Amino acid sequence: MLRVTHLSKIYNGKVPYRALTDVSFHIEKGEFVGIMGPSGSGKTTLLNMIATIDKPTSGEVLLNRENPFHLSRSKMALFRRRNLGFVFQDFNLLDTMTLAENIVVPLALDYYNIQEITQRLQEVTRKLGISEILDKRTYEVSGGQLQRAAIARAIIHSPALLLADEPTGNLDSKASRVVMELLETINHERGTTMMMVTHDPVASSYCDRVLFIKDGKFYNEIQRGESRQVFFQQILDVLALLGGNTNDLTSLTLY
Amino acid sequence: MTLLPLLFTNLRRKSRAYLAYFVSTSFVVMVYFTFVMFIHHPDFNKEGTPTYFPVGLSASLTILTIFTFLFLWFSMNSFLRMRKKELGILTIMGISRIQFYLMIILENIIILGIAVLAGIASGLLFSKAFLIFGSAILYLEELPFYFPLEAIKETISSFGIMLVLITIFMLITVRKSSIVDLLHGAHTHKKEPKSSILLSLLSATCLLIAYGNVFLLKNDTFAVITWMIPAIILTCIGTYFFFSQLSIYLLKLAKRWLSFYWRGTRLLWLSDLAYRVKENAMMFFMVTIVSTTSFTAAGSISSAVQLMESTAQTYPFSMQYQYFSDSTSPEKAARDLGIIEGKLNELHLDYQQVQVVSTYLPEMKHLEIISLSDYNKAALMLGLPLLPDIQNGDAILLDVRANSTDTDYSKISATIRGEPFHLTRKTNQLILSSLTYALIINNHDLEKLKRPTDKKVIYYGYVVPAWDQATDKVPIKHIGNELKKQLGLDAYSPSLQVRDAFNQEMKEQLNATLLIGLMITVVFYVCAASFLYFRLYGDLERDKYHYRTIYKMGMSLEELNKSLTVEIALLFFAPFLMAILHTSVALFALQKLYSGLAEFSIFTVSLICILGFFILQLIYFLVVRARFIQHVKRHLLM
Repeated sequence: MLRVTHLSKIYNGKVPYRALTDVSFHIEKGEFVGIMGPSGSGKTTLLNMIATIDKPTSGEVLLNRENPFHLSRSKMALFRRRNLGFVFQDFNLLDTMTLAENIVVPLALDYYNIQEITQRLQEVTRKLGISEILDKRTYEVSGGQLQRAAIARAIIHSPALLLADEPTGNLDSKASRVVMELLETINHERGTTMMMVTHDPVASSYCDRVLFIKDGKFYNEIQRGESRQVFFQQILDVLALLGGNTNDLTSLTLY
Repeated sequence: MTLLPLLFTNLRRKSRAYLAYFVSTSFVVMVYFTFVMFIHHPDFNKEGTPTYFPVGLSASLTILTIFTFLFLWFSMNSFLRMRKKELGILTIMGISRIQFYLMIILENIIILGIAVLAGIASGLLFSKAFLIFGSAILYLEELPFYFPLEAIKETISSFGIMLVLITIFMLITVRKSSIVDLLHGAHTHKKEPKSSILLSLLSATCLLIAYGNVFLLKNDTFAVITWMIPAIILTCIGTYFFFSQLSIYLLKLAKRWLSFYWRGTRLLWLSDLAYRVKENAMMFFMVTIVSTTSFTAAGSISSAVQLMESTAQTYPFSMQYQYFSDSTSPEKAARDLGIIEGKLNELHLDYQQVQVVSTYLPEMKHLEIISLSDYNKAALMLGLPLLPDIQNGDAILLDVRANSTDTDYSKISATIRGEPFHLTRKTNQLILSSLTYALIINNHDLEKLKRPTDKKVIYYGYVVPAWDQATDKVPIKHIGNELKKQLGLDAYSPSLQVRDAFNQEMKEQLNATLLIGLMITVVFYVCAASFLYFRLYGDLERDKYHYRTIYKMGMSLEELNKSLTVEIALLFFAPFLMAILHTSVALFALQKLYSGLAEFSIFTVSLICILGFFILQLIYFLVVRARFIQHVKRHLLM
């Protein structure tokens, strides 16, 4: 479904910076994959390239066997609009619009007819439990509600892939849990393929699989078993390794 | 880093933000400078120069100064608002509030200094062109170029004073706010614009009444003039609430119509529009009113010029001399006539002269009595239809006063000094411009009425064919002015009236008014447009964020272009369209005003004027749009 092969990105500035080196992985249809790594590890660069916002220096990204970077700029926008859904850390909801207006942006831009739009709006917002606050503005509701609206916006057009960039980054623990559970439910019920970049081990414990990257390179990958609790512990272990430096690791690798 | 290097770095790096401000300020300075230069022109106060023009220029300078002051003040304030975040960061690093304001003020002094110099430089550059243009419009001999040291001094000093005043104002109104608030800067949520149904209805009602009545009005000068003032007030109220209430309300209604609203990029710009309209309502209102005034003035002034040329009716004679028997001796009058005729002879001009004697009756308000023979003598010379014989005891009323009504005169009889007169008919065929209300009776009756103590007005009408046929009336004006001087009369004395000189003078006056009015409107436009640019620029952070989000979600650059273009175009042209609408209605009313007097259209000049401003506005719009979109695009990928 999503196949990333030998992806590298070099930012050419006065000081060229290698953000990603030879990253390859793939995501199956219906999978929920987390990407973790310390700050500056290239997570967001990776996400941006999958989102077709940034161009890779080498390597390719195939979504449903199609390489979006072969498309023209306006076709690429169309590709994004139809195949991808986005959830951001700071919600990125527009404050001049009501929540309902925010949610229907992807459909309106694609000239869906109004019956279809309202029907999908009802369906999605009911599922996310925000049908009561659709006429509110962004500054009138809580962070958790905002993120739920953002998720509604990301899935209303049934995208092939939902990309989430630190979706719980600005939320308290309770709201975080609600959001992650919702994402999990959507993943199960609608079969939406998801890729989430996060710092938060709790959030990533909701994934089926977590990839770790460090300094732009693929580092490790762990798969979730039966228990989320165990998975969470495993994630913490890998993170502990990730955070240390080489001297710390030598002693650990003895075991 | 001390304050000064910080300042220069700011200026260099923020040149984009300051550009519009700089350009508009330079433009204002240029116009100001040009006006002052004209006033101080050494040839200007010489003979033959219309006296009203410097007065008009000075008056408009005052308006310009007030306006410029407001413009600078508002701009400075919006700069401060735009740079809240910067203030926050600098405060954390330990800058004091006073230092920050000092920095802003110094920055402004530098920018304004350069702008004043640039304005003066471009003013000097265009001064020759303006002098040629100005003298052509005023029918002066071409004014030579001079180095306007006085004007430079005055321009610099007045802008200096303005800056000092603004600085003081700014330091007085230093507002305290917490650092956290400052750091959040412009990125605070705006409340949804509210509109009141009541005020929206008021706006609609005002506009409908003002407009509707124009179409219901009769073609009657009096009715149009009486209706004018309330119509203007209603239009002003209606326009203000149109922008601040009705338009918001209409946008709200449009948003309820989902199949229209939730379609393509419409969703994006329509949701934004209400906010922007509400924020700029006051400015839209002012732009609308100012442009309506100048478009309408352009139309009516130019039509007044046409009107004057098309009616020889009010001044049937090429020249007219008159005196009152009680204040001027016949000897003095004979001397005056000698001077006039001597002048005409000296210039080898053919002329014919006719004398009309009218008796002035103090007991009848302003009514004069003339004999039929005098009337017909004059009418014959002018080639006008003659009046038929009048029986003893009969009279014909000559009445061309503006407010005369269409009463049936045949039924009215007038009694003068115990003699009853029967009015047989009324005529509005003027023979002498000052003789607008008179009774025409036959010589027999006049002899009977006359008393030696009566006050008399003696008119002399001259027909000078060479003048009537002349296309260039400027020399006639000079002759007229010279004659008045020789006779010891002041410029507006009715004793000597030279028709073409008067028309010429009026024409120049109207042209000067039009010129000054248009200049002020242009300044207003430029300032308003750059103000709009400021406002857009102030929202830039928010817009970047908006469009970055939507771009990520899959909006193509073409759609982004379209959305922003529509929105900016609406902001730029909404007041303009409103002004065109107002102007059309006003001109329609004026057409009715003139319809009683002459048949011609007054739309042409207004149309040219509107077209000119449209092009100006279009250029500004294109520049602003391109720059704004460029800004937004640059930040899409960050």
